[in-house]
Amino acid sequence: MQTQRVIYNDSITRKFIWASVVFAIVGMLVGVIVALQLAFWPANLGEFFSFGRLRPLHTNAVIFAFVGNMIFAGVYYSTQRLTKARMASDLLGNLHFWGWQLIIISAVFTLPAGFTQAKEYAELEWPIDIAIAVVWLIFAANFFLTLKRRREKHLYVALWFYIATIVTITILHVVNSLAIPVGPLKSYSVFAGVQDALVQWWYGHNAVAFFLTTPILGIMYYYLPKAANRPIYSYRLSIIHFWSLIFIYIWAGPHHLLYTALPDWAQTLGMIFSVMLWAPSWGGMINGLLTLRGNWAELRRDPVLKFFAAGVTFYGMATFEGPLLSIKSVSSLGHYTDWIVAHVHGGALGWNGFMAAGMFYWLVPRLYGTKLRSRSMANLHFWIGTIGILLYLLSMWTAGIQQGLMWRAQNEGGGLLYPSFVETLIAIAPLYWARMIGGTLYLLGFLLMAWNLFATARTGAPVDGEIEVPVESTPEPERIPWPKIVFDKPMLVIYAVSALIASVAILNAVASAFVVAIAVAIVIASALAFRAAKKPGEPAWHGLLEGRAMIFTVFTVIAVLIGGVAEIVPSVIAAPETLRTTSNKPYSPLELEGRDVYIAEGCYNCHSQMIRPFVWETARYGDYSKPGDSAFDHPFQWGSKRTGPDLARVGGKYSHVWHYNHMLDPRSISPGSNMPPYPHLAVREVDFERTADKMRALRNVGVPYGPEAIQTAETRALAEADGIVAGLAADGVDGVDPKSKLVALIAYLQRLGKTQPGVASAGYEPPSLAKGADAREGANP
Amino acid sequence: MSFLTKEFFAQSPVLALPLLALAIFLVVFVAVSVRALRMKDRETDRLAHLALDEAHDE
Repeated sequence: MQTQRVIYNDSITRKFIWASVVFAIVGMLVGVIVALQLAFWPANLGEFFSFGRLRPLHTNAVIFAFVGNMIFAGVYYSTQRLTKARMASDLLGNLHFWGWQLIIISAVFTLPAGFTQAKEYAELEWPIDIAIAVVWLIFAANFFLTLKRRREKHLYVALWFYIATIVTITILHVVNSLAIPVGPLKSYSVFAGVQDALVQWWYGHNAVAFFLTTPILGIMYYYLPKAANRPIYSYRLSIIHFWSLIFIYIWAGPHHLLYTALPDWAQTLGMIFSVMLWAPSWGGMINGLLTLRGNWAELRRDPVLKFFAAGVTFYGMATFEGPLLSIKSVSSLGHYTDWIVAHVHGGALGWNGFMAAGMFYWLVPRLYGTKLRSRSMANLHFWIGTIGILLYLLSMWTAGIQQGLMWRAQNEGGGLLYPSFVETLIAIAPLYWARMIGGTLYLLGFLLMAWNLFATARTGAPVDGEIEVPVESTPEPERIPWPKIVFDKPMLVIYAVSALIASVAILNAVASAFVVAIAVAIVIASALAFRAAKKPGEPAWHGLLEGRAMIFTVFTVIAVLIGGVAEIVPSVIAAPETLRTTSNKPYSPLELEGRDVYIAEGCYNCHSQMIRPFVWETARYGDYSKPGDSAFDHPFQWGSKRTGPDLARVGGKYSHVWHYNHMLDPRSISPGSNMPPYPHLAVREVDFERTADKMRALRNVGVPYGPEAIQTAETRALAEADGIVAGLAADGVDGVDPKSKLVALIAYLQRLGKTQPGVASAGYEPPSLAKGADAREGANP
Repeated sequence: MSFLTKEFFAQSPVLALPLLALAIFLVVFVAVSVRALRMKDRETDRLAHLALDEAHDE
C-alpha cells in the first residue's frame, strides 16, 4: 500500500506551552500579591496596584492566559493525532497564538488602569471583547477545517469536548459582552439588574464549565490514556458523561444568585441542576481514575501520572463541593464568604493546575525529542504544590465557615452578636496569611516546573511528530445525508416523546398520567423495534453521528442553548415589567459618574449590593433587596464576595465627611479594616463633558433619561457636587475639589438604597420569606 | 396537577420553556444511555484505543 507522511504542526503547541508557563507564573504571582493585600493592607501600592484593580487581573491571567494557552496547546497536539491530519492552516494557528497574547497584554494594561466592565471574568472592555471573538473564531475555523480533513472517520470523545468548548464559549462570550460603547474603553451592558445578573452568571458559571472543565476533560480523555499507556476505562461511560454534562451544566448558573432578587423559579432550577451535576461529574472522575487501575505502582514513580491522578481527584472534590454549595441552605452560609474562594481554587489549583503540569511534563520531552531533565524535581513540584493547595483550601474553608457563622450569630437579646463587620474580618485575618503562604508554595512549585521544562527543552531540539497514512485509503463509505441523521427514526422518537412529556405541563392529573404512560410505551416499543430491525454490521445511529462533525456540532449547540434560552428568555421578557413598576429613579449625572468610579476601582470585588432575606442580613444592612433596586444598573453590581460589608442600602447611613475620611484613610474610621486607601480619588477629576454621552448611551438601553436631563447633565452634576462640598466644609473639611472623583463617589454611595420605601416592592414578595421556611431560619439562626 | 400548573404558570406562560427543556434532557439522557449500554465490546474497545493509535508519534 502506498503511504504518505503527515508532519504535524507541533511548533504551535510549543508556543502555547511556553506562553502558558510564563502566564501561569505571572497570574499566580499577582494572586500571591492580592492575597498579601488582603492580609496586609499596605501592600496596596497606589492607584494602579490596589486590590480592586489587581484581582480581575489575577483571575483573567489565570483563566484566560495560563489555562487558555494550556488548553490550546493540548487541543492542537491531540487534535492532529486524533484526526491523523496536520492542522488545516499554519497561518490561522499563528494568528490565533499572537492574537491571544495581544489580548492578554491588553488586559495587563487596561485592568490596572481601571478600564473594566465590572462583570466577573468578563471585565475586559468592548474593543478587547471584539478581538477575543475574532481570535476565538480563527481558532474555531482552524479546528473545524482540520476535522473536515481528518483521516480518522470517528471523532474520539476528546474531540467532542473540544467541539462543545468552542461553540459554547462563542455563544457565552457574545451574549454576555453585549454592550453599548460610550468611548474607546468605556461601555455599558445592554442588560440591567436582574437580567444582567442572570446573563452574567449564566456566562460566569459556564466559563468555569466550558473553559475550565470541558476542554480539560477532553485533555484528560486523551493524555491520561497516553500517559498510562492503556485505553480509557469505559468508553460507554464517556458517552453518557459528555451528553449529560453539557445538557446539565448550562442550567446551573443561577446557583450563584440564590436568595437574591432573581425569581425563585430560576433559583430552584439552578439548584436542582447543580445537584444533578454530581452524577456526570463523578462519572467522568471515576472514568479517569479507573483508567489507572492496575497501574498504581507506576503512579508512585511517574510524576505525570501523579499530577493527572491528583488533578482528577481534585476535579471530583470540586464537583462534589459545587453542588453542595448550590443547595440553598448551604449557600445561605457559604455565599459571599471565603468558602467560595476555597471552592474555586480547589478547581483552579488542583484540577486545572495539576492537569496542566501533568500535560506539560508529558509533552515537552516529546516535543523536544528528549527525556525530562529532572524527574525528582517534578516529584518535588508535586508535593510542594499539593501542600500549597491543602494549606490554601483548609485556611479558606475555615475562614469562610467561621465568618459565615459570625455574620449570623445572635446575642441573648436577639441582636447581632458581631454587629461590626470588621470584627468578623479581624477574626479570620491569620487565615489570610496562611492562604498567602499556601499560594506562594504553589507558585514555587510552578517555578520549579518552569525551570525543569526549560532545562528539558535545552537538552533536546524541537521535533515535529509525524505519521504514515495510506494514500489510497479504503473506499469512502457511503455518505449518509444529514436529513437521514437529523430525522432518523431514533430522533423522531425523541422529538415525539419530548413533546408528550412537555404536554404534561398543560394537562390535568389523569391525562398527564396517561400521556406519560404512552411516552414510556413508545420508548420501550421503539427500542425493541430498532433492535429487531437492525441489520448485522449496520452502524448505530449515534455511531453515524460520531462520524459527522458538523451535525454533531449542531446537536451540541442545541443541547447548550436549551438550558440558556429556557432560563434567560423568561427573565428578559419580564424586564420591561420591572421597569414599569419600579419607583426607582435613574441616577443623577453626578451619581452616574460616581458609579463609574465605583466600577473602575473594582469595589464589587469586595462589596456586594444584594441583601438577602434573612434576619441577620436585614438587621445588619437594611431591608432585603428587590428587583427594582437595580433596575437601572448597567451593569449590575450585586457582587459575589464580602470582604467588606454590603452596600445596597448604605445611602444616608453615614455623613458625607464619614465617607470622605473613610475613603482617604479607612482605618481612621474603621480600625482593623483591610480596605485600601484611595487618596488619588481626591485629586483626580471627573470629565463631566462626557456625562451627557453616557446618559444618551444608557437611554438607548432603556434608562428613561429625558432630553432636558441629558442637556443639563454637566450643570446639574456640578451643582450637586457643590452641595456635597458645602456639606463637607460645614463639617470642617475645606478645599475639596467639587470635580474630584471622590465627591462623585460620595454622591453615588449616598444614593444607594434610596428608592421610595414601600413602593418599589409593590407586587413582589421574596419567595423565601413568603413561604416561611427561610424566614424562620432567619429568625432563629 | 392542575393546581400545580396554575401556580407554576401564574407568573408567565413562558415558564413552559424550562419544563420543555427538562423533558428534552430526560429523553436524550435515556436515549444516550441506552445507546451507550447497547454498544458492542468490540466497538467500544476500538474507539477507546483511538487515543493510543499513533505508531509513529514518538
